[in-house]
Amino acid sequence: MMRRRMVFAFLAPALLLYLGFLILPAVQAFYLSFYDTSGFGDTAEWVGLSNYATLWGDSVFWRAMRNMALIMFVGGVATFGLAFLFTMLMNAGMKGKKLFRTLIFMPNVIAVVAITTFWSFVFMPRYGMLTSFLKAIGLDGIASTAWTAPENVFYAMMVGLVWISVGFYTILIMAGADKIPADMYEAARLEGASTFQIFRQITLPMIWDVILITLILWAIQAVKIVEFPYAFGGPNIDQNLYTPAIYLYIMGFGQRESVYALGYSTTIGVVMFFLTIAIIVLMRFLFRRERVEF
Amino acid sequence: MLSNTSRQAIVAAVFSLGLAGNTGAATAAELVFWSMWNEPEPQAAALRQVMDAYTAANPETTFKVVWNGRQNQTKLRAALQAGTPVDFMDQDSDQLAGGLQKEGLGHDLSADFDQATRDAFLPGALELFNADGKIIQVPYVYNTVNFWYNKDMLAEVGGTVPATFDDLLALCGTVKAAGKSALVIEGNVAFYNVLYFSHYLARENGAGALGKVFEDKSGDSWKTPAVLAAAKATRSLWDQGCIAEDARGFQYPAGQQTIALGDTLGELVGSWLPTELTESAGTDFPWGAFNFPAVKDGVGKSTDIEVGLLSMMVLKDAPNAQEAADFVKYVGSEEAQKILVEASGVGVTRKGVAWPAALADAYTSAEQATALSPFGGGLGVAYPEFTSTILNPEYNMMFLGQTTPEEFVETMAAKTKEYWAAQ
Repeated sequence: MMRRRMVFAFLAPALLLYLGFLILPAVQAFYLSFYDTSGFGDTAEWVGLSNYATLWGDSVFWRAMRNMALIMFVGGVATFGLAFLFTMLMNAGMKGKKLFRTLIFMPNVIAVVAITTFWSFVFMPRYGMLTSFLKAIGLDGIASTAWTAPENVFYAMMVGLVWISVGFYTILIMAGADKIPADMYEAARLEGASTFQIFRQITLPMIWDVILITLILWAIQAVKIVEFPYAFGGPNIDQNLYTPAIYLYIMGFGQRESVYALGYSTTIGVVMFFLTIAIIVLMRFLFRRERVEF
Repeated sequence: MLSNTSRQAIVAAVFSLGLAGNTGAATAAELVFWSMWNEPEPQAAALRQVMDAYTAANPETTFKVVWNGRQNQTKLRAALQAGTPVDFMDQDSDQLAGGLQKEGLGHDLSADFDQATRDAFLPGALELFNADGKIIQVPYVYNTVNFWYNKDMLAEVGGTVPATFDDLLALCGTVKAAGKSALVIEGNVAFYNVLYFSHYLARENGAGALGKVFEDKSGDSWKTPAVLAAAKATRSLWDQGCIAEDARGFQYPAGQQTIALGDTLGELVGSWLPTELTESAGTDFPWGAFNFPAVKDGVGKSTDIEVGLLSMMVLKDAPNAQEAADFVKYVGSEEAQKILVEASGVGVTRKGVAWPAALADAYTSAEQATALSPFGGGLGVAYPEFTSTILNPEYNMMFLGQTTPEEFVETMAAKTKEYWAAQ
C-alpha cells in the first residue's frame, strides 16, 4: 500500500503536467472545433459540426491533404530508398563510414530556416546555383527552367526535404543494423551473397521493428509538417506548398489578411489528430511481422 | 484634546496629502505598448525616440514596450484572452481593421481629434479605416502602391513615364529592346500580384471596383466584360514581354533584387521597396515612382491610389486609455512625424512633413490622391478569408499562366456565389 502511494507521489508531478499542458488543451481543442470564433473577445458561437462540413468541401484543405500525401508517399519512397541505400553501402564495409554518417546527419543540426534559404538559392531562377551550374556545363535549355514556378515549387521543396530527412532516418536504421551480429554478415559473404542480398535477407528482416518505427515517425512528420515547406515558401506562402498544418496556421493566426478563424483552424487540427491515429493503426496492421530474435 | 487650530492643521495636511496622492495617481502612468516592430529595426529605434521625446515633455508618462514583430496582433489576441493589460499597439491598418477593430476592441478616439488635428493628415488617411465615422485607429506610417523604378534606366532606354496602360505596354517594348525587363514580380507573393488586377479594374470602373464585383452575390459581375478585360490585360504583361518568363519562379525577395542588379526597370509594389533594397541598391539609387496608369475608356482616375498604412490603436480596456490616446495624438504631430522620417526613413501621414528623398514621388502621389483604397481594392479587409484562400491564389494561378483569364472569371463567379450562399 505504502509502495503504491509512493509510486503515485512520484508520478503525480509528471501526470499533472501532462494533463495540464497536453490532455486538457487537446480536449479544449475538440471543444473549440464546434465553435465559430476569432479568438478575440468572448463571442464564440456554437456551430455544431458546421466547421467539419465546411472542411469536407474545402478545396484548399484537400489540396493541402494532397501535398501531405505526396510528402508521405513520394517523399517517403525517396527518403527511405536513399536511407536503405546508405545503410546497405555502409554495412558493406565502406571506408570512412563514421565520417559519411556524420556528413549525412549534418543537415539535422542546422536551423531549418538556414537550410531552406540555401535550397531557395539553389533553385532560384536566373542567378541560382542549379541554373548557374547547368549553364556552365552547356545545358542552357534546362537551365532556363523556373524551378520554383508554381508547377515545380512543390517538388523543388521536396528535394530539400528529402535531403534533410535522409540523414536522420539513415542514422535510425543504422542504429538498428549495428546490433546485428557481425558473424551473420560474415557467413553470408562467405556463402557468396551480394550486398543487396545481404541487405534484403539479413539486415531488413532483423531490423523490421526499427523500420516500422521509422516509417511511423515519417508518417507523423508528413501529417504535421510545417517548418520546411513554410520556410521554403516564405511568409506569403503559395498554396502549392500548403500542408494541413500550414493551412491550420494560415486560418487561425492571421497572416497578410487578417484571417482569424480559430474554430475552423482547430477543426483542421482535430482532423490531423485522428488522421495520425488512423495512419499509425493502419501501418502497424499492414507492416506487422513476427519479430526476429537474435 | 486638540485645539481648533491643530485640528484644522491636521485636516489641511491630510487633505493636501490626499490631493497630492490623487493627483499623482491620475497623471503618472506607465503605458504598455505592444509593437509590430522588432527591437533592432530602425522603425523601433525611431518610435523609441518619439516616446523619449514625449516623456521629456510629460515626465509623468513612461513606456513599457513589447517588441513583438509582425505577428503583434496575433500575439496580442492570446494576451488579451489571458487578461494582460495593454494600453496601445500598432499594426498594418488593414490587418487591424479586420482584426481588433472588427471585434470592437479598439477605444474610440473621435473626441480626442478635433477638426484641426484631423485636417493635418494627408487626404483620406485618417478616414480610410473609420468605423461608422469613429476614429478607432490612427495611421502614422504611410505606404503608397506605385510602380517603383530606376530613373536612370528609364532615361537610358529613352522611355517616359506612361500615362496610359497602352503607354506602359509600349514602354515594355522599349525596355526589352535594350535587353532589360520592364517589370518584375515575386511569384509567391499573390497579394502583390493581385495589385495589377485591382488597379486595372479600379481604372476601368472607379475606386473600390473589386469590392463591388465581389458583393454581387450572384457572382455574375465577374463575368462582365470589364472584369475579363482586366484579367486579360494584366495577363498580357507576360505576353507582351513586360515581365521575363523566369520571373514566374522568383520567390520574394528574388524578384525585387533584379531591380537593384540593374536587370529590371521596376515593380508594382509598396513604397517600402527603396528601404528594403537599401543594402543591395545603395542609398543613392535613383528611385522614381508613378501611379498605375489610366486605361482606355476607364472612369477611374490615375490619382486614385492603393495604400498600406500602419496605425496605432488604443485598446478598449486599456488601463490608461486617456494617456495612451494623448500619446497616439502626439505621434501624429509634426515633431514626432519628423523624428519618424529622419530616424527610420519611412513616409508619414502628416501633411507638409517631407518624406525621405527616395520616396519623394510617393509623397506627391499621397498628397494628390483623389481616392484611397487598401491593398487589393480593400477586399482583404472586409472578406479576409475569401481573399486569402480564393481570390489571391486563383488570380495568381491565372497571372502566372496556370489558368486562362476566362477560367479565372468563371471560377471566381462560382466561388463568389458559393461564398454568399453559405453566409
